[in-house]
Amino acid sequence: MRFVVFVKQVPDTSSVGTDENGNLMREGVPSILNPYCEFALDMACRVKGEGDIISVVTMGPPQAESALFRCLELGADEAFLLTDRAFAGADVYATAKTLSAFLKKFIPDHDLLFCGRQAMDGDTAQVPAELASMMGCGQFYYTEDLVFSDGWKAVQNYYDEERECALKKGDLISVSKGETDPRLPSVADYIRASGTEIKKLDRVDIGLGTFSVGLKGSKTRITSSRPVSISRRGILTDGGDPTEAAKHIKGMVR
Amino acid sequence: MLQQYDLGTSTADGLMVWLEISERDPVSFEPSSMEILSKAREIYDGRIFGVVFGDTELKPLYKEAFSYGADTLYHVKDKRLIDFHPEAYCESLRSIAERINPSIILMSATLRGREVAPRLAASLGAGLTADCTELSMDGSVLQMTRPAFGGDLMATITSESMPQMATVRPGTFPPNKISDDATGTVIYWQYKGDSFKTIISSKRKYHDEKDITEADILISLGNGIKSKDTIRLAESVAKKLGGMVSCSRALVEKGWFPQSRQVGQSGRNVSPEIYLAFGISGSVQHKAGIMTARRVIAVNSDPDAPIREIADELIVGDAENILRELDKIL
Amino acid sequence: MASVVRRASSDSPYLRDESKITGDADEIFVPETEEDVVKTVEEHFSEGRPLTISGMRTGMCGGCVPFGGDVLTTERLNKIIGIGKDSNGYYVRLQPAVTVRELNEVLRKRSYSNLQNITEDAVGDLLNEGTDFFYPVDPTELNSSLGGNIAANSSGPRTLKYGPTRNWVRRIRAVLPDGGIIDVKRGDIKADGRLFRFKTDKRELEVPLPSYEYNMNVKNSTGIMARDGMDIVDLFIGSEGMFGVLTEADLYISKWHPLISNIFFFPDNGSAYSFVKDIQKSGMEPEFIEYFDSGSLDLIRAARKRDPKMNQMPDVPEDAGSAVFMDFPIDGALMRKYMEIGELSEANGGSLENSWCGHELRDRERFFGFRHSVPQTIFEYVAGLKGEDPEIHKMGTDMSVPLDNLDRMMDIYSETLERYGLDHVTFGHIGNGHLHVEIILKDMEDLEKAKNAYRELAVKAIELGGSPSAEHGIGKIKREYIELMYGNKGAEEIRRTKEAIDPKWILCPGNMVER
Repeated sequence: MRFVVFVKQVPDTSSVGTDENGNLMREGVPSILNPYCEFALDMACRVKGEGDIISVVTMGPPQAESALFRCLELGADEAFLLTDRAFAGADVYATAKTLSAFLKKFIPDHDLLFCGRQAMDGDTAQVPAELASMMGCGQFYYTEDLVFSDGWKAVQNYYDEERECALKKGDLISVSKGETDPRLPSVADYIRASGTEIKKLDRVDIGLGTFSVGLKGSKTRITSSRPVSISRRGILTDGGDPTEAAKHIKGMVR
Repeated sequence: MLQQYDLGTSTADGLMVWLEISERDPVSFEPSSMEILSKAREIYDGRIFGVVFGDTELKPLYKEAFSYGADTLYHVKDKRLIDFHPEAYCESLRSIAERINPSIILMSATLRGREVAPRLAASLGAGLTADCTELSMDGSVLQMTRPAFGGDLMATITSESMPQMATVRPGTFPPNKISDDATGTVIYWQYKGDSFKTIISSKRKYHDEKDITEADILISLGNGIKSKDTIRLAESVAKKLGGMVSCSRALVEKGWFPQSRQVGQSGRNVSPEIYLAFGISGSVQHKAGIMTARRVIAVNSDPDAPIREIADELIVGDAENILRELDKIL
Repeated sequence: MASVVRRASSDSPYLRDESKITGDADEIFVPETEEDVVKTVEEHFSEGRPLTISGMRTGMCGGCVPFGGDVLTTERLNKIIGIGKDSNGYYVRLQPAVTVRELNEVLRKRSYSNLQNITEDAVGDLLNEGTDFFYPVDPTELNSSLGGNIAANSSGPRTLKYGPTRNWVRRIRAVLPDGGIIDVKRGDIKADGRLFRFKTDKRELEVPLPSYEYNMNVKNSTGIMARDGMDIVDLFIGSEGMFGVLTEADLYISKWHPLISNIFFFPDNGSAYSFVKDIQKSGMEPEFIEYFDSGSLDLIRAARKRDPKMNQMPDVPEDAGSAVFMDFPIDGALMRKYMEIGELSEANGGSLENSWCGHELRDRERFFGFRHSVPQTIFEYVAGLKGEDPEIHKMGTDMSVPLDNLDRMMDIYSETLERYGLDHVTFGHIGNGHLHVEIILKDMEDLEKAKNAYRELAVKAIELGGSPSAEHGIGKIKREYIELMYGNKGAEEIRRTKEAIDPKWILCPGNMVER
């Protein structure tokens, strides 16, 4: 079996602080493997059998290599970094286009595709469906479990409905659940990962024109942005006396 | 395949909305779908097309769709589509889009909307802006505004090609009936493909409660809550105020709440009238999730808790004690 | 701005620390400036009223716990002031309530925008350095205040490589008990033999030092430092607030290098211990070596069962009966070290597979959380028992011995505690010959037994050339070790030093010695 896991590197938002003006301080914020992507990788590792291969792929700047290294430590067998200055500024469409072109050219014969539900840095769960659309495969969002019995089956959770669906070869799974405490590699894993080459591919390797990737290949443009003007004043009130504080709240909500 | 034109000279016209069905028995629309229709009517002068999936059970809903502003309703009539099949939904929406050539396609950023929209966008070669909180028209160009990373910026985004697609954050726009006896055209549409999933089993989970995105008042608990018993207090307060209890990510991880109650970027973005945050320090993601709340009142022992930046008021005190007192006096 | 004064209610957090002993006090003074401190200290001096200094209250010996009088908390003196540079490298000037975590975050994120240049262009120079910097003393409790760290001469796992707090202090500024201010950096004032003569803005002082031999061959925080010709900065470091209220300090920082944290699991206590000895013989010099015996791993397992979020680590492998925690620099030598560790661990029943490693910042923080969860679990256990019996408190040893005598000391630990019938777990800084043996008390009867056993162990540790209090200090709960180590005479001499600086015994009375 050949499993392909698409991952993303994100800033570790749990350690993003704000300055006195409430602006985010991104300086010194470490980059990590997006937690949902780690769930996706974990799911692939869990179902992996003898002789199966897990490939991980990311599109990103050269330093995204560290996210792939983490994937190798956690059990991926090979890693591809799609990196090119021309990829910069890609929106969802251009990203999915790049990933699908890579997949068609480098791993055309794959069994299952895995994505994380969403990136923690504000993406909104679009890449998996756009990728599935471009690959023409089925998509299984909000998947919490994957089992093999008489074929692959995904357990999906749509808040108001939980269902189990059969997968076909080539289908894409978007994983929304995993261990709350991430796994840790062993030293043996670290050594193995250190000995695995991370393959770097650029636009030409993948075979895409400049107008298919990055900002030029994007279908949306940010035309303006403005600071959030929240008129909330953040008044401080002393709530040392719970009874008084409760009365105060009651006055506001009633 | 839908042709793409420069925005200025496109012949595309009309606004298409997928109207999601939340219940089949008795049948009802997802409330946020009506919110989108209302907003569409407000900003858009041209024709508004609604699309619904299902069988004859949908008939009682036609009138409602018209009363919120739809001119024409495409009913993809197929019993099998009562179940959610994202691939088949997407193919149907695409074939309808090819027929009417809309300049705008909107849907709600619900779990299913977020799944269908990108698949459709990719198959139409369209740009997509997710989770918008503001929409407006500049000529024929749709201005889509949404919070950017962390919620410290609002970014306005436009599409480079037709159709212009967006999903809209539920609860952002008020639903607004134009008329109780508005009428319109219903067109039955047939899905000719066979992209059906093999659904082995499906368990409908009935929630006697609403979704937290629909609550007017949210009592929200965070990591500052140390005792699990406090949840009962919060439920009691919420009941007395006619609201619901939600939580931060920390309590979902603790296993105290299902994810459906989680507020924040990885949970739900909410826009209640009043958001009462007890013991929530306010991570970046959490703050982004409550940006569109009308009022935010936080109770926290730490006067420097980041939630203050987005709160109208931060009451410095013991969240659990204050909640207990509040329960007593309500 | 005037300092805030609060009444101390009986459940005030200012009345206890991590030792869980509880004291009493009338008022809590919260100065916001050094002038506030001077004013508060002067008032207390003129009335002869006791004043106990309180930082983040993470100490383990009741050093900040007041018994009568008032409390002065440094919590609002929490600014990082600036950055300077001298021939020894960069240093950070800060107020006492800055925590170890805060300092390291500022350094890691290089958020220097609000910092002053103590020496010309120091901030800009540090910003332009190619490598990151950090404060290398890791007292394991990262929320401890640096003022507290200086008062306790804190050390921790990294002491193996970087030494204790003492090695990193460049300068101190303190308000003495009479309100006089001393501002000294290393080299300014040296003792003449065992006598300090110096001047403050208030008066001239003559301070005699104890005559005992201060053990610097092992980790040691028993008693005040006393050596011929010593620096006055060293008198204040580790003095547990007896001599003055620290208002500022300069701390050196060190170049940071990427590290990988590793935990290797072994089948039983003996195998891990034997592995540690093999590592020490190999000469590969890890940043530190920490040991967890089977009991400590069981504590973690049990705590995780109660609260799965206790530490954000995976479950401890079921077959693990002990563990060894080490950090290594990520450099060209790492793979060679791993190969050697592979052989050494297999020889002792472990393997490279049966391990955890992490090099990303968040993972390394998880490792330290895991390490800290052992004493944390015991604190919580003891805090629970306190409900039944308020007299009960944590009984953990903090004894160091020279490495050559560690074998002998390990035997003495198990022999003695078994003889008393006391449950215990062992963990800690094995690389420094400094293990923490925590006695798991079940009832008051155990507490009595534990006290006797503890005393016996302390005597043995001193006999073997060690210290009965290696890093936690003496505070109020370990005063008897002063006499154990230095005899009646030594204790008397410490009193004499105290008296010379604080004639009315107003500052932190009861720390180390009673009047």
